[in-house]
Order: sequence, then structure tokens, then C-alpha cells
Amino acid sequence: MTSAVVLALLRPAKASRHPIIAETERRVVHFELDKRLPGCKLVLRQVGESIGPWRSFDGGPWPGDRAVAIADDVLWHDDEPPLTALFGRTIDPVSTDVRSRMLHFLGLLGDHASTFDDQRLEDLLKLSITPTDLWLVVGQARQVTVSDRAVEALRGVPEEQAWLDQVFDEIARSVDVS
Amino acid sequence: MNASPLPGRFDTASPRPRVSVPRHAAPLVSFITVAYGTGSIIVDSIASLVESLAGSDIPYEYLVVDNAHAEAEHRTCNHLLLATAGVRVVRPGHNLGFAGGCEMGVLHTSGDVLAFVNPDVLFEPGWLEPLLRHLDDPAVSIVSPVLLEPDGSVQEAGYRLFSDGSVAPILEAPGADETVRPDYASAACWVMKRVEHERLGGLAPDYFPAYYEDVDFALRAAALGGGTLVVGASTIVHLHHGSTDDSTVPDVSRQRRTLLELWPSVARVQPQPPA
Repeated sequence: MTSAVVLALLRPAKASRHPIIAETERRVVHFELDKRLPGCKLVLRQVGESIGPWRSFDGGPWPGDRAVAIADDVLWHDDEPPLTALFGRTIDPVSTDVRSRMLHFLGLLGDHASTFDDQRLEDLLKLSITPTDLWLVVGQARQVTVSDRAVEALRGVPEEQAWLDQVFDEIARSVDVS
Repeated sequence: MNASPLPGRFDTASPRPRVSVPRHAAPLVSFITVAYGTGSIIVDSIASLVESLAGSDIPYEYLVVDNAHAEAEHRTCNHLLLATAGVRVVRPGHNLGFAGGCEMGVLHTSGDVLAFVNPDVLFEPGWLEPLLRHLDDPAVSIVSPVLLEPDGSVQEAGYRLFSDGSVAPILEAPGADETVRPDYASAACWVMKRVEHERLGGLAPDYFPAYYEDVDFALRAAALGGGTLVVGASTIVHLHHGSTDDSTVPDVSRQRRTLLELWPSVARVQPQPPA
């Protein structure tokens, strides 16, 4: 079993990108990866944030226990709906469309959600909200105003984050820096 | 339409329950039942489920989505409150239909395995384990038991779908060590992984209030690399129309038209209906 996978998004950090959207993306990528590698751990890093050089997507032993990189355009297209681009390789857009209509039907998507705030996040976290659902709700909002504390609630337990950081550091040290 | 994602919800705790659902902190299987003015049969169903799982170590939870019924608003709820303990109940406050009710149930449960079960099915010992064994097959999205009539005859081992949108049950049950790949199986009892439900997008709301959403979902599953499997080693009894007092055969012509509009390939690919 793969104990750890570290992925880097080759995209400079964008100041305008809210951390909750980044965290949602991490959840989605982890969700997709976990289906193939049950129990794997994931750390996302962006260019400029990394500790060591990343192996290329094509040349790296993916999936595996080593640090690998996912090129920007694999996961993200500015001209396309984010979820479709994000799931383009694994989840059919038809499924996304069905899910979107169902969330509208259930009242989770709608005009009232133009602002995504702490209260809305708190409400959603009481449900077994899936990465797809969370992505759709956050992506629909015109304005995202979520406190750091609320984002922390989404991130999971601190122990897991610390373990992930440790794994990330170990892998980074093992990478040839020449 | 209710704009709140948090409808009324509670756990039943009858002082003298006829059936108690055990509590598990981390359930593997989430049973989700959609009720609509359902009577005492739902208690019979839950009792048979708990009994069927009494000898297993599978952790599970049981949740009822109690869709609002104009003439019998509190009927299901009263039966559950009087006769059960440990049943989780969500009350949307209006009728979400079958698909919406199932999806509301998904949002309020946490097991890695989802089991959509009608409130009018009676479970037999050992019915669940054979279904779970097939969930790791990447070519399978939905697994179902063979549905039996109360007299023990076969009600369906899945359905065949025809080019005009009509359907017919498969009445030849597979042997105990056999399986059948139908076009779809009635969602009276579906078992699937939560991740597969996520991948496929869930049940579509287009068929409100009910019928043919299971066909739609099964077609999507098949189109995206999965499919439906009926397992001969698993049997349950399905009391048709036991969910409500309404025993009339429903008119599903609108849902059938919707299916043909959303899935034009059905007319091209599926066989002609028998004469």
C-alpha cells in the first residue's frame, strides 16, 4: 500500500484564491486519489511553495510513494467550469450536471448561496457533504467570506496535518536536488 | 421549496421499542429508507433488518427520510416514535419524492456503503454479505438481491429495458452461486459504495415524484463503466405498494417520456418490446 503521495500543482499561488477553495480542491484530489490508492495521504503544494524539485508528471513513478507533480492544465482550465476541469479525467460532466440539479432541488444550491460564509460552511459540515457537493456550493458563491477558524474546521485534525508535513519533508529530503 | 439544508431531524427512543437499531460510532453501511405516509410496515421492515444482521459484525445505521404527506403527515413518524429506538429520522417538511429523499438521506449518513431500501421489504438472514462481496468489482456500481413475493415466488431478478422505455422483470432467479446482469434493478433495494454514488452524481430529480430514476441511474452507471448486478445468494421479500395504502398501479407515462428524452440511445440500442 502506498503510504504517501505528494502532489504539487504547478501554479503560482494566487492571492485572490480563497483558502477554502484551495482546501476544497485538496479534498477533491484526495478523494479521487483515495479511490485508486486506499489510505493514501496527500499534500498539495504550489510552485514557489515547494521544498525540493518535483519529478515530472510523465517521468515520475505515479502513483507511488514519491513526490510527483501535476501540470497546471491537467486540473485547471480558466475557461471552463472549475469542477468539470477538475474532474475531467475521472468524473463525467453528465454526473456533475445531475448532481448540480439535485443540489438545487434539495435547496443546497440557490440564490441564497451567493455568499459563502462561516454559517453556511458550518451548516454544510453537519451533513456528510461530499467533495463534489462542497465544490459546487463554494464554486457557486460570488463572494467567499470565511474565517480562518472555519477553514481550519474543514482541514481536519491538526495531528493529520502535522503527520502530512512530516511525510512531505521526508520525501523532499529524499529527492535528488542536483 | 425549503431553502435550508438542515430539515428537522431526530433519533427515535421509544421507552418500549419493538425494535432497537444498535448504535455504531463509525457505521460501514448506511441504510436509507424514503417514507411517504408509510404505515406500520416500516417497523416490520426495520425489525426484519435488525434481526437479519443480528449475527453479523457489520456496523450500520438506519435513517428514514420522512417525506411530508398531505393526508398522513405524522403517520410514519408516529409509528417510528412508538415502536423503535435508534432510528434516525429526517423530516424535510415537504415531499422530496423518491430521488430527493434518497439524496437527502445520503447527506445525513456517513457509511462508506449506501443501501437504499424501501420501507416495504422484509429481509432474510444472510442477505447483505453476498452483496457486499461484489462491491469491489470495478465493473459493478449497484448490487441488488433477488426480490421475492410473499409466497416465495420470484418478483424480479432485475429488469430488462426496451426501446420504447417499457420494462419487464426477469423472473428466472440466478442460482445461489450465480449472478445476473440486468439493464437495471428496482431501487427497492440497492447497495453501492458511497464513492460510486459520488462518481455517478446520484439520483436525478427529473422523475419527481418517483419511478424511472432508478433506470436513469443504472443507465448512467453502465455508460460510465459500471453496471447493475443481481446476486442469487441474496433474497428479500418485497411487498409491492406496501409503502403506502395506495395499491393502484401508478401512471408512469410521463417519467417514461422523460427517460426517452434524456436517453435517446435507449430507442436505438435497447431491444424491441415483446409483442
